[in-house]
Amino acid sequence: MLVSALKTGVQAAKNAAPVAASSVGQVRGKATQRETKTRIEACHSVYKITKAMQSIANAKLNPAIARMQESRPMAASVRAFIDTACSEVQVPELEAGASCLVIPITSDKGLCGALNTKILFKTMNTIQDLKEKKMKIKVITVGEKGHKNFQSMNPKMLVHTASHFGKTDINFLQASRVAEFVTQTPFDQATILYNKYINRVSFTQMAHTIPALTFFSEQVSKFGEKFEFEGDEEQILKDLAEFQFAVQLYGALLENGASEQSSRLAAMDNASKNAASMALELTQLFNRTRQMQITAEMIEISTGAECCK
Amino acid sequence: MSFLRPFSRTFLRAAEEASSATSGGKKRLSLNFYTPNSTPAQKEVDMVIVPGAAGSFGVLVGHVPVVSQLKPGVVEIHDGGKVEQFFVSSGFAFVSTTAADICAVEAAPVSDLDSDTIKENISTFTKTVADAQNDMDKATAQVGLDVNQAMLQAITGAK
Repeated sequence: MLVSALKTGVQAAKNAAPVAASSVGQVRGKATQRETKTRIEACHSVYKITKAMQSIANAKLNPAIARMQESRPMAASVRAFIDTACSEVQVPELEAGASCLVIPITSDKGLCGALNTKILFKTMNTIQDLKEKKMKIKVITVGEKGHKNFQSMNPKMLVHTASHFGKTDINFLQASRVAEFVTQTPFDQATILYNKYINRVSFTQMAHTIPALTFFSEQVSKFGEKFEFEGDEEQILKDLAEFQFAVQLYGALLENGASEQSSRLAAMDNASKNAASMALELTQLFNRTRQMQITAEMIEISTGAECCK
Repeated sequence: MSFLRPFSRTFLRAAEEASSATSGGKKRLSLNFYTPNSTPAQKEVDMVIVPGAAGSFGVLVGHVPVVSQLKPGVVEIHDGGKVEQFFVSSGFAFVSTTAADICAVEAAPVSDLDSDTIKENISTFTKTVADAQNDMDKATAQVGLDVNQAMLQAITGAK
């Protein structure tokens, strides 16, 4: 609703006739004054909307950062275990023709600055690199914006999309469902691309590479060197592979979520400032023009009065 | 039984020495109990009982390095005479000689579990399991049933 109102406001500001050059003797008519008035009102409504979106993003940012930070200890623990167990293992180089899954994480809604553009740009570069190595590439987009981009630019690569998670904040259950959905497409390597949150004003693009889920099961002997398994080794490693994929995906989704709020905050802040300064300029133009009209009419009247003397 | 006392004391001292040798001299276990959204416990404790998929096991400092999946059950944290009980849905436990990392998908203090809701869930899931049309639905309902039965067990067996 906010977005459509914003679009109408911007359209009204654009559709109004361009400012006529006001030189001495030539005055803007009442019709163009009315259009300027419309433009000023449009700027005011755009300002209100962008200001509202800015405060919403501001309110959502701190909880998003908190959730992201609370999720980090468990992710670090899982990663530390895998690093300890597989410390001497080299992930094998992929041969040509291996199937690579590329998973860019984007937002569902727009008006969030350069967030989605940056990650999709990085995705295109990653795909280019993989193409040069002659890999088979499949793309699963998370988020509506990524879906729209790939549908228009590269529909053949797009295998699936996961989006519209709903109004509630994303939780581990949803991330697990997405992970389950993604892993239905077998892969030799998966790359998750997301925006990593740095601070309130900046974020950076990250690409996490995850080996095939079967990689863990193949390392049974390596794990067995350092740890004993309570239960069936193959089953534990198979489940661990899926679990760590879900945990990594969840972390990426939360980071991107926090980045999305900070990016939207900055973008809407800029938009509000621009709308306010445009409204100010137009109001000054309107007043100047009104005063010139009054002056012109007074000149007409006094000239007429002179003639009739 | 006075002649037994010196023997048992020596035995315990030997066990302590052995355990502190493997644990690098540490006397208490570092417990890191995490969920995707919170950290229920991160402190030094005496012992933690982990509901492993192959059976519950207790972890003291100096334990053999172990990796285990968790089944729906209770994580019991023993610390200086106090016992804290958390119900966990599933996850993994990574045990080393000095630390136990428990990564649970969901964890809640046993005192937070509501027996009425659980009993309702059990009857609903029992019905769903019986009415299930295919293996997938049956397995999903069975998981729900197992978790709720474990929760009931946790409440009724709680101290």
